[in-house]
Amino acid sequence: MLALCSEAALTQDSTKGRTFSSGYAFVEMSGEELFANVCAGCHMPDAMGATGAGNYPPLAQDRDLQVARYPVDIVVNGRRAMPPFGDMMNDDQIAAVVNYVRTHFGNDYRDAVTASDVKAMRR
Amino acid sequence: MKAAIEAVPYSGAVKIGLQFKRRFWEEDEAIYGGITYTDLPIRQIAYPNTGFNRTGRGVLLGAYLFDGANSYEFTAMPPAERIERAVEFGATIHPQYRGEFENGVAVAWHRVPFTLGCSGDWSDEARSQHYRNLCQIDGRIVLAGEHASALPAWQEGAILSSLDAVSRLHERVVKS
Repeated sequence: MLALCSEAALTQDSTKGRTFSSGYAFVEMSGEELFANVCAGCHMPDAMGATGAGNYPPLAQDRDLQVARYPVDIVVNGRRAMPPFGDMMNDDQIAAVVNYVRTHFGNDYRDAVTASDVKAMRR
Repeated sequence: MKAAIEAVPYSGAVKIGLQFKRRFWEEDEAIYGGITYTDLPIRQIAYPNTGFNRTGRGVLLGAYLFDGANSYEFTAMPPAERIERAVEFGATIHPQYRGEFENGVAVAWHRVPFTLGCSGDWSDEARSQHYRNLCQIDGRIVLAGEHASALPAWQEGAILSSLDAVSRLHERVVKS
């Protein structure tokens, strides 16, 4: 169970393929991995959200994702309890994770976001 | 006040406690309390500052994550994996982990139902625009806590905020 972890294997752990970042910003690049390692912490792995003192809204079958600018703005700048990720992900990463969520979990919005779309949303 | 509440996101934090069969850090390494800082994803190992030289089991803080990518990455893991990873990374610093580890517990504050986060994460902009409003009495509502203080995340901030809230409330009742 306890795998030896060599220096070289730090960012990409071979036992379960889990990526770890080395600084303040995320090193994950694919939408799938960014969702699993970041978004899923609150919105849950199935994107169904959760309820406690407040609500983590579901992203599954989410009509609010129809206009791509909306999720891009929220990821870049944050909204209410959700922290902004504009300083922790670059334009490509934010485009990748927004495109992933908009085409998974019962969402089927095919108009992909580009890095320059993300750049335009930075305040 | 509503606008002020909505302007402050909640930052995450993760702590992982690990229980070992013996206090090997004291017995083998002469480490008595304090913290090992590391660039591994666990970021810190903190050793107990009490109960020195006690025989039998010992518990240390095997990871403490906040304010960065690793705090999100550990929050997003299933609880059992958080502990597995903390043992795996910690063993590269203390090989004794492998033989002495018994069990552990991991808390990720974004997953704690009654707070859904660790502490108020004020930007300078939000603070200049909303902080005074957040600390006002609005109708029948007055807020107190670390989020309504100049020392977010600290108990000192929460206590100072409660004293401030009580003072404001007292003043208002006495004047009315």
